[in-house]
Amino acid sequence: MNAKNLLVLYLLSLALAFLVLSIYLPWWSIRTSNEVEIVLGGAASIDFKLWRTVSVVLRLNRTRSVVLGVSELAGEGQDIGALKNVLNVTFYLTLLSVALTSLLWVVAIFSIVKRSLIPQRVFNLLVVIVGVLLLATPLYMFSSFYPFIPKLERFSTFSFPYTWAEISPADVKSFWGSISIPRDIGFPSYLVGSDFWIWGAGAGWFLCFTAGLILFSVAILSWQMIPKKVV
Amino acid sequence: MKSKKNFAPWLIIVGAFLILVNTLYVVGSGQPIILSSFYVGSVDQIQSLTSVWGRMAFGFPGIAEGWAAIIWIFLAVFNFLLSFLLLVKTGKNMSLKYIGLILSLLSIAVGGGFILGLVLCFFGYLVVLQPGLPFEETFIGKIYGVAKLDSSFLSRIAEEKTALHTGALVLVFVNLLSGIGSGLYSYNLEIIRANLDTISSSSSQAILFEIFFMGGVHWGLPLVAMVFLQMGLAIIKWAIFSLIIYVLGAKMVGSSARYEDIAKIVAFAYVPVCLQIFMPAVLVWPWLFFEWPFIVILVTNFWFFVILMTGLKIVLDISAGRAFGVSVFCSSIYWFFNSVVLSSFLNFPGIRFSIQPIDVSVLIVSTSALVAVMLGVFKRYVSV
Repeated sequence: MNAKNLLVLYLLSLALAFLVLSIYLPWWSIRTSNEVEIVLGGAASIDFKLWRTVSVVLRLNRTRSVVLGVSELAGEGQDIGALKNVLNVTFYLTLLSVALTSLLWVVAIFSIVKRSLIPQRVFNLLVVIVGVLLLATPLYMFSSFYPFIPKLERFSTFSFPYTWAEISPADVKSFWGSISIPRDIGFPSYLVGSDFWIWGAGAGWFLCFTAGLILFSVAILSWQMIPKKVV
Repeated sequence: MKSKKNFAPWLIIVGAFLILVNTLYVVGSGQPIILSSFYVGSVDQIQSLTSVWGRMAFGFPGIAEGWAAIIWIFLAVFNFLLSFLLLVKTGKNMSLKYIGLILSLLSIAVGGGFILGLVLCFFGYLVVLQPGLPFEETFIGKIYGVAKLDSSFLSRIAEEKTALHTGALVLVFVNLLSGIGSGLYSYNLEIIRANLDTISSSSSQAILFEIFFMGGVHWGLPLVAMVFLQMGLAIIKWAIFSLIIYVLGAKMVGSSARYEDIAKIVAFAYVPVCLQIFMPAVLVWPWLFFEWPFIVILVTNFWFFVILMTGLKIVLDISAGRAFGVSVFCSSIYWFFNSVVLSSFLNFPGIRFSIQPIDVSVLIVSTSALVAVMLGVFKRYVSV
């Protein structure tokens, strides 16, 4: 057993775990800011997941939640279809990444318990390719997703409290952004101007991106392990 | 011996993993992790609390939002990679270790791996930065040996010729950490106190809200000056305290120990004081101004006292009882000098506790002198 190859296996396992988790976690979210949650003692979030679903949660005294399919969102059929398509492509790219990372994981296991199935340089090349794919997936989502959000009519089948700052799809003009606390909704004056709603990449997006960086780390680590020729 | 040192890269790996997880959590939620003992929703509520409320923050507000999140992920993954590279290229690339150490320290902005990760990385990197030495001989190994009250280790220190220099370095290191901790705490305490006085103004409420609820920590140039001042003063205080022990302790018990031997033990005894760096990690209301810093200082100084007593027992070659007597007597005189005499004409920044009226302080010193007599500190001196 090569102990150093175990390190590669650990990193690949971590990347794989992050990837699997990313499939279940939101990739893009709108949520109430920390300031709002402290003052109101509650929270709200709108989470877009890779399963082409949107879950809306409001926790204030009691919890209200609804899970909608992207196709159930109100909007022009063409725009909804395009949004669904972006999530579809992201989903399949992630699934492909999971499959390829699993394959690399199996190869790493073989190199530890028996013998390497492929030369280390080929392994490294494959790791880099999967790493690029893993970084490309969230970047694709980043560039293609948010332009369709303002075209939606609304996010949820239920409304947030009327005393809250309003959020509508038209407010979303970039991947990352926020809506400030307005003056007239009863918040302490020192919080006026701070964020009420914030939106941007969700935990799933970050995990996939991190998994990509970890794959590059695997390539660097594995490259360091190749014995250097002594002239 | 050498195999013991192999745990250091693993400490770094675990620490770097915790930093990565903490970073992901903070960037995923877009805000630092704030743990509080129970829900409080406004600054006014805090002021009217009768039960004790505490909050702990992992990360600083507004530092990992939007695009900045990607930079923090890059740094965390790179730090994680460096920790693995250490195992592959053990002891070779020193610059990678320094980069890893800096990255680990930077991670405090995004929670520092729930602080534990940062601590593990910090200690791990300090160990691997001294390749070729067994763990016990490294700077951190010596600190660890003293902190766990290893008497054989303390007697080795007393005999080691280079231990005085290492002791001085330990003193600077410990006072750097405790200076940052107690300095940050007192600096923020001043801000809290000033803003509590003007709580009716919106800007004061904003600052208090940021510190109490958002995990905000203020710092400035006066704080840096305070830390440097504390490091320099520590050396002077060390020399004075060692002198007091040498004259009133070693000479009284008739020991042949040299001033240098006492100074070594005193310097290393300061090790637990470095734990004061964690003081600002927790804010406790209404314990903010007295109880919390007092608990931290009491615990670390008690530990300091126990190490000092153990060390003096070895270096003066006396019984535990007499060592206790010497430590109590000399510490009380030093404390009187430091907190009553010195503080009366020099207003040092930082946290300071004073006992009022001053007669009580004199009473404490007198009592400690009596305790020293009862424990036979002056036995030999009287009998001769």
